[in-house]
Amino acid sequence: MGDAGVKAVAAGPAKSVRFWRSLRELPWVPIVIILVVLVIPAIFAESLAPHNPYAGSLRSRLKPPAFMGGPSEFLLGTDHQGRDMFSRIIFGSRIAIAVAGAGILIGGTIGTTLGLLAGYFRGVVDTVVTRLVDLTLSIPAILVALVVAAAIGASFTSVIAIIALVLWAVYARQVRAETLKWAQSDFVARARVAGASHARIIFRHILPNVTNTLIVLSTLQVGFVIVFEGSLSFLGVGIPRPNPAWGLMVSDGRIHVVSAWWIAFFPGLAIMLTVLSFNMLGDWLRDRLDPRLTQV
Amino acid sequence: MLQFLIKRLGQTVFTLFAVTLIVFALGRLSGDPATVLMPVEARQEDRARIMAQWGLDQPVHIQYLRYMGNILRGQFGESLQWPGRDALELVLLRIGNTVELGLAALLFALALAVPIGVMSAVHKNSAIDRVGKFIALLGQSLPHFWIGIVFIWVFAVNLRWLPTSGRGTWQHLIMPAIVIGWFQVAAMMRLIRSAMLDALDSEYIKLARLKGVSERVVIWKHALRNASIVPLTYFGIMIAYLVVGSITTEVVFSWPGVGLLVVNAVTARDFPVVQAVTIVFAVVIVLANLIVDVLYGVLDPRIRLE
Amino acid sequence: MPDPVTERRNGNPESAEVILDVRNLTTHLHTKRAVVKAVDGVSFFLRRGETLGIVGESGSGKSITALSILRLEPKPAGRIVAGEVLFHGEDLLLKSPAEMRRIRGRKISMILQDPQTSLNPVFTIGDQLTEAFAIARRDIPRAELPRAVVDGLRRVNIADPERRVTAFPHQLSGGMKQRVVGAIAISGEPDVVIADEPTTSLDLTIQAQYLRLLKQLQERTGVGIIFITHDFGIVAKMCDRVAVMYAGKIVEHGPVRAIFNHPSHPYTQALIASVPKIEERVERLYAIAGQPPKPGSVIQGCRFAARCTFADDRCRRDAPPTFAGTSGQPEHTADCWRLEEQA
Repeated sequence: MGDAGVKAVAAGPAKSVRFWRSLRELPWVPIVIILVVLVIPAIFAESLAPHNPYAGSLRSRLKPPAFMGGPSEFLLGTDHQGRDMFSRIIFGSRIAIAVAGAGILIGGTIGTTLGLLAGYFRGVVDTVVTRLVDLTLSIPAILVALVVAAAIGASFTSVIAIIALVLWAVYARQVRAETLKWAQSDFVARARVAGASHARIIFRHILPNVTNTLIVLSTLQVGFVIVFEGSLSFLGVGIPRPNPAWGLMVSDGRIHVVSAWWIAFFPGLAIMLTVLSFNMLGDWLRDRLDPRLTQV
Repeated sequence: MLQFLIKRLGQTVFTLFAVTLIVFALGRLSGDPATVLMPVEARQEDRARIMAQWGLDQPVHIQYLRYMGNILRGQFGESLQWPGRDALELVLLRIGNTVELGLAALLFALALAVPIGVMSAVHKNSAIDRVGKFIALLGQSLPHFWIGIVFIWVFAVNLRWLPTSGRGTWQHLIMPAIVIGWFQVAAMMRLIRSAMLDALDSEYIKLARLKGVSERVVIWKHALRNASIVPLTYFGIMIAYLVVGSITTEVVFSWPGVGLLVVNAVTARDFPVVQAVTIVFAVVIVLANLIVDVLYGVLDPRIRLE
Repeated sequence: MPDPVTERRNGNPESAEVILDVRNLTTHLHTKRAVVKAVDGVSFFLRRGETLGIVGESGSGKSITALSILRLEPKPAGRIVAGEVLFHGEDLLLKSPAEMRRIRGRKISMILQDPQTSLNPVFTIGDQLTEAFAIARRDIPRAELPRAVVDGLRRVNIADPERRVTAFPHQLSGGMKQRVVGAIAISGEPDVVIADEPTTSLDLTIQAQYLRLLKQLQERTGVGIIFITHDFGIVAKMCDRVAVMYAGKIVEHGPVRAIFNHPSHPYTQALIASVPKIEERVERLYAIAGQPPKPGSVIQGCRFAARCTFADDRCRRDAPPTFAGTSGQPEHTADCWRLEEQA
């Protein structure tokens, strides 16, 4: 009963005021954290890191962080090979971004394309894609990663490939659903009547409308991907040694947790903060861009 | 309903076939088993003999059929790490431990998620709700392997309340179960909350209140009963998460389950064991999803009586 | 005391006592942008055994009025800010939640509009009706409940009630579901039943049946009915008195006959004029140009002025007071400046 559409007539403040006010509404905490922990170190690693992340001397093994009484040159202590933790974590951000970025880019592109095709052309294409999506999503990613690693070994390439392999289905499913919806809309019908080719309709009309979804989805996936890569590295089937991948460092630190807890703690903390922030950002984006978007 | 079941069964079979195909393909990718097994200096005749034994001289599709035949009979070959031990046997020996861990995690997750989820929905936007939302966010952001190590350091090394690793008493079960279950709490709680919000908003709840039903009964009987259908569909995904979670967690806590087995096997390139674990896991997950769908039909009278 | 049912049949409804007296009820809805005066100073009364109709468009505030009487205004947005709801002399707005719960379902019950959604899909209708009886009729022992439930279903003319008891809501037709809702509503033998557009979601042929059922129940039990609808045709068939609501206020109020013969408020006149001659369901008033005021907007003067063909400057400036005694009957009131000369 009753229409509840309330749009009160209110005279608003000036446009510039509203812009600054809307800036204030941005979720600054996660944005800052992401910048500090992930983006800035990744870009300026060479300038920020005090030591070489690959070089360590046995003399400086297992030193505690500076704030705990250890040598002041090692802000967060050293690991079992005498390498500076702080520098390694900084360089690790580069690995995290690169791998996550590449994986999402590749997986997202493949998934979006297939989703668009499936949703637009329906028929056989749709059936095949949907079957593949269901199949991919029903097998846990880590299992796939383990099997692949057992088969061809672990490397940067294998990690990125696995991420793409896992992610494409998530994108495909979401994009397909959106495409189905948009393909029925008026402006698509008009474009078709006007004689537009399929490609044109898909890329000029449908794709822009799907972008919002893609942004939210990608933001939410970054968190998952970083943890996933961390897990793979932790298990030894991800980024190979001696690269300073955060997951790898946690794994190394595990054995020394009794005597040198900082080796495992700080890299894991970096992962946690990054993922937390991306999840917060993703939630905020989803609320802003499309409150109707259901969680996949 | 029957139609629905048959369709789902078909999907299940298809998925399992696909899994075996993928595992087979990857297995062949990992290299010629003959080369792996034989020392480099082996003579040509020995090689040929081994290849015949393994059926590697046959064309690929015949190989696949042989492979499928073996799998269906439960023969995955011998473990490469422990020659003489059957791969499947190794898996089955340890699967009980993983199940034990999984159940404990599930219980923990439910015990936490249901009350928090319900209270979050009932007291929407209050402090309780915000705390609940934060727990959810935290749970989804914490990496299993890291939080496990942190737990060990805090509770085992420093406070000495719990043992550091391994399996034995119920105290050994606590930390790994919480680590795995924590992630589930987050997702389940969100689901229950949103399902409860939907239910509480509905007309039949309004009618229940109009009947004079007490608020407590409205929430815990009328609303929850409807709301609990939704998280059930999540069970299937949850089993998958339990599987995934158990892999890293068993490594961290040295829990003698299937997860630890498969990780060690991967490191040792013990492909028969990896195969066995993968197929067993896949079967479990796929079956779980099937059961969930059936259960869903049973619980929701609208579907049951189609 | 004369039996109210007989009194009504004899055409003397005025002698029955007033059991529900709503005075100046005001309910606000707090949304993100504005405060909506969904119910703005509404007053009406209901006598024992009579049927009062509340008519208005969607959004006029009829349903919220009904929910406010039972203190079930939509929370957290809704808040009853003023007024009295006197039930047998006691103000319901002052009662504790526990006391209100005892009244709901037992003394005052409600039938909701959409039978598809008002029954809980996971419980059988037997369960739901049993619960209603268990709460509303404490005097019936547990062992007797199943029989009471079957009787309850029979009383609303559901055929083969013993079999239906184990059915789930989705297995019944819309009309049958609504009867079950009716059975739930009268299970406690209430004094008042509020029916919120009970037939709007039903097929036309079923509508007539359902209305007949309600009338039957009223004749048998003497229950008072508040019938909320947008359809003046139904009002003519079912109601003794009617209150016309517009944008949260009651603009006209009086005995059905009087209002039909002398509709005094322009809105009522338009509503009556739009009663279709051929049986045809209308949701909107196609006859009247314009829209009701946006909820939450502040209006100066008469709320109907924007759509009224007779509106003048005074109408737009000052909200009209209530004038009584139009058409010669003291109970017939309307809020319109045009009645000033006649008062």
